[in-house]
Amino acid sequence: MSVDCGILCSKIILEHFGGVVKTVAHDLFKVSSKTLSNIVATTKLQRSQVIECLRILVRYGLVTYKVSLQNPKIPEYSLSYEKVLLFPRYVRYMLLVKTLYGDEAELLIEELLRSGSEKASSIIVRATTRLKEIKKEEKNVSLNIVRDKLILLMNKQFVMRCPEPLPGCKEIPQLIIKQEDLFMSPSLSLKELTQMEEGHPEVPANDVTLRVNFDRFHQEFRDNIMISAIKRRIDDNAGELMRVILQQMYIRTEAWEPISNPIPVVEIRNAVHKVKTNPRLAQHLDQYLKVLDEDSSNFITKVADSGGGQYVVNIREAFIQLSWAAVENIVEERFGSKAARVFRLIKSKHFIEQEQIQQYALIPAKEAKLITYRLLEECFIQIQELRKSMSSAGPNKTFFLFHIDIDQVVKKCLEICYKALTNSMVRRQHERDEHKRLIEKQQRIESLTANLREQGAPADQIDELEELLTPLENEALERVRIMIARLGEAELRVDDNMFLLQLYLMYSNCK
Amino acid sequence: MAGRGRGGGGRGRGRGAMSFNVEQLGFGAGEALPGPVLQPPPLYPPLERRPVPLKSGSEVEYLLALKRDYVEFLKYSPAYVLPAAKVKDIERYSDYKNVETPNKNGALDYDWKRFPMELRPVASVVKKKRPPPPPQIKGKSSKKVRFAEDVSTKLDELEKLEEQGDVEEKSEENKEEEKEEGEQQEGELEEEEDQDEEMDDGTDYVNNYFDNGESYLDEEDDNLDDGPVY
Amino acid sequence: MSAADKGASTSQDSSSSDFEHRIIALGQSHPNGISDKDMAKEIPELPAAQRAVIINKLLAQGYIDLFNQGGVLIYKIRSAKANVIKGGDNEERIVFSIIEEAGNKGIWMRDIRTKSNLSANQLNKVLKILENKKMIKAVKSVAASKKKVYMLFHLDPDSSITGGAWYCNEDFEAEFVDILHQQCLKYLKQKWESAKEKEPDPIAAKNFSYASAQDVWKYIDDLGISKVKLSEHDVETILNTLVYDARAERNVTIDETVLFRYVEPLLSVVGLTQFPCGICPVLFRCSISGMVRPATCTYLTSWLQEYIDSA
Repeated sequence: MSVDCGILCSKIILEHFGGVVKTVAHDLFKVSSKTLSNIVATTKLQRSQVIECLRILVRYGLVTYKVSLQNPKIPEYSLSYEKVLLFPRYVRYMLLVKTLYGDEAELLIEELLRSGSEKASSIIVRATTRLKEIKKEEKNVSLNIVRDKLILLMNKQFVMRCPEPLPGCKEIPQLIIKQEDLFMSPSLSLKELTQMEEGHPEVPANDVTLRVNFDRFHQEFRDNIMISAIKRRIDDNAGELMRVILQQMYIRTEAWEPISNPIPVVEIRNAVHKVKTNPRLAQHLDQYLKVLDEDSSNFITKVADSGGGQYVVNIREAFIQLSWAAVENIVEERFGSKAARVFRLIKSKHFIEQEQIQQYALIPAKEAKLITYRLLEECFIQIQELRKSMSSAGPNKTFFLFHIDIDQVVKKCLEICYKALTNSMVRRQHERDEHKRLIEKQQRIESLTANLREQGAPADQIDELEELLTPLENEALERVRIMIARLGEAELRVDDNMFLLQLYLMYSNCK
Repeated sequence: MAGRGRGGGGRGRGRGAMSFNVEQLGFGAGEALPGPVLQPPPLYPPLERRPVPLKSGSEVEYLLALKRDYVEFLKYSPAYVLPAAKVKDIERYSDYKNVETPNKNGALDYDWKRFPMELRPVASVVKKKRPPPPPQIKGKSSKKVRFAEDVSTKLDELEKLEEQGDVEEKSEENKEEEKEEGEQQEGELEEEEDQDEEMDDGTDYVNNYFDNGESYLDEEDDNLDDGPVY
Repeated sequence: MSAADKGASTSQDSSSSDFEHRIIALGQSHPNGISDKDMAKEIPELPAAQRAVIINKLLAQGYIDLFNQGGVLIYKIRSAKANVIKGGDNEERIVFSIIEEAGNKGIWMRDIRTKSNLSANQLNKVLKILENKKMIKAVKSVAASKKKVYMLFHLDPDSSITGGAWYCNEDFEAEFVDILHQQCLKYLKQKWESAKEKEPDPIAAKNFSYASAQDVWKYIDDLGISKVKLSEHDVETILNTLVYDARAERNVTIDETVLFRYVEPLLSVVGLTQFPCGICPVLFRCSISGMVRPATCTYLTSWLQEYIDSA
């Protein structure tokens, strides 16, 4: 893990769990695994504190442990940095289930993310309690509904069981779960849940510990990226077709395969006809398939004609294309549109000389040279030397060819993302610190006015309280609010970018 | 790129053609160099392009609100660990044991069987929260602190050796011994301080698995010179 | 490619030398010789009298030989080497053949020197002699301004030297290229949009959005924005730059027609570009507590200020 990645992870943990946990996590970044005593020694924290931090990190799935190779009696802890990097994405997970399955689902996921990993019954009870607070007037909030929503989320694989320790009291538990049990929802009776809600200490019998299945969310995000791209490239109907094809894909193919198994046209046709809202798609289905197949984006390919035709989805290929598009976009904004042209030119020719660049790109020589220099300097392109003649006598007969190593470039862009995200978080904190007193003042006033309102205090009392904030202060607070909001938004966008690039690296590693 | 290497000097070959534009240098042939630059180049050179504008919408606002709520929740939850008070005039009992640092909103409840033994609290502690003990007599506490520091540093050294992989198992064994020693001392300490408390004195469970490094506080004076055996 | 003959720096009347070159080119393409009638047919705008003058001149310079074939006067291109051997000495011959070898791409003086092993002074003298004899000429190369390449007198410099249609006196006409670029893009995009609108079925929509290089060339020609006569190949070059800008894609049909079509990119905006760090030139110098750091970064400050102002 790179330095920039480590700094980012530190910042994320600092924001969510505070400085002490950050110290422990930071200590674990630098090594693949470490024992408790070692951590205590390097961090100079109290042992009790390190223990508490480790408990929290393990609970939230950020640290795992295994038997130490050197001493089988003690465990060694390792940090899962990829899990740390997911925190900025948590809110997207919440929004996704809200969109798909409603508020109950959103709260269930939110509660689960808040706890890291938690018993199903607790989640249900807590979510129901919160829902009841939020929707005070509405009557249709009940444990029943929330429990069923949880079952739905598990069926759809957004929530899964945590691995359980093998029986037998061991010092270092081995956590295992069978594939078929992963998404089995627990059977919790309404009676048990109601008792819990009322505060009875008894724990339901069939309770299980659950956690969020991040990959499932990522699968949704991934599919949405592909569908949007097709919508833009061809039209909305084609986008819908892509969605249907992806749905059909899952019947026969594991979610993360680079290429899907063949999907018969018959199935696609049936699925399209079922979704009656899109008559044009149904009408021109064959044509849309052909257009999609022939499009240079290569998301799907026809592989057979038998039985009306069969298509595969080239997910890996799709994300190679999408990553190129992303990287080209970054080059364009970072170095200019002419630079993007040069970049794509080099991509299309694979290896090309300086002189050819100005010729094909129609850019004056001077400008072309400046561009290639800048692209080279930041390692977006590379130079390959090719000797024409082996003798060093005579004028230099060495070709200097430019080319692109896309893996390197994607990694480089990912590093820039890490840095950008870190900087945004730092700046956000800085703005908050700069205006700390003012923000605290505002918060105090807000909580006081909220209290007054609840007690039914007269309006002028409330106004008086609010006027404690001068107009100037209010302006400053508004400024801070906008700054923090834009920085937060930038973090969301940069994380989207990171997601795409991470997908590429994952697919490019699995050949 | 070819041809940049040699002809760049324009030293009387051909027509003094140079591969870069002379004007870019800021001076021509035969002129004096420009005056000294009095400032370092700017830290933040002017940007040629602006970032692409953000297109905020209600979705973004909602996501930001969710994020605010989430971070705030964690901040006031037991998952957000506060730093311990650094200056301790009085040794608190809570330092010696795996007591949950009193956070807000109650303790996190853990399914202890999913955690390694060393992360689990001592069985007895889970049941009750102890109030801090009455303050120690001053003299004794400073001695204890001194002892603790001595032993802590020795422990550090020991652990460094451990990292180097030397005498791995031996030091482990010795640590175990010390822990056991520590348990017994610690048991006595407890008796002294909290005779009112129900305590598991020196059960195996406590002796073998209590591994707080700060427990070597009651070594008798005689043992001061011995220290850990390497 | 006659319209591209812009870089030649001859001292003669440009139209006259133009015709000279054309006659020579014609002769080179007919090694068995050309007659007056052939020349009149191929170069109709050249008046007979002027043609006669030029032919005499070329005869005198030894470029062409006169033959009589069955009563018709035939002119054949003479290998210019003979000329040199007649008049010049060894050095001239060597330099000449080096330059001849370089064809219409020309060769830099430095390279001639390396190949011929002559000293700078000697070479300069020889080059001057050959230039005076009108056997070679110097042409400015657009690839490296201020550098000249030498080539045989009668040759048309390759477009890599002159830059072709995009160069006017060795200056790259960036604005001109940009305008053409915009126009081509506009044409293709309009075609794509109207195809989508008018054609209900997707395949027809796709097919109608295609345009050949010739179609675009005609459009540009009709617009009349170009003072220079552009060839179809020139327009194709511009269309290729649209491909490299990811605004168009290119397809070649079975009968080798090249077709172009407007495309939308797969991704419109990418998150990193919406944040200053994504375009920051000093990112590599930035750290949390360095001189360049996020807490005080002026790019971030002005970026934030823009949003404050526009709220």
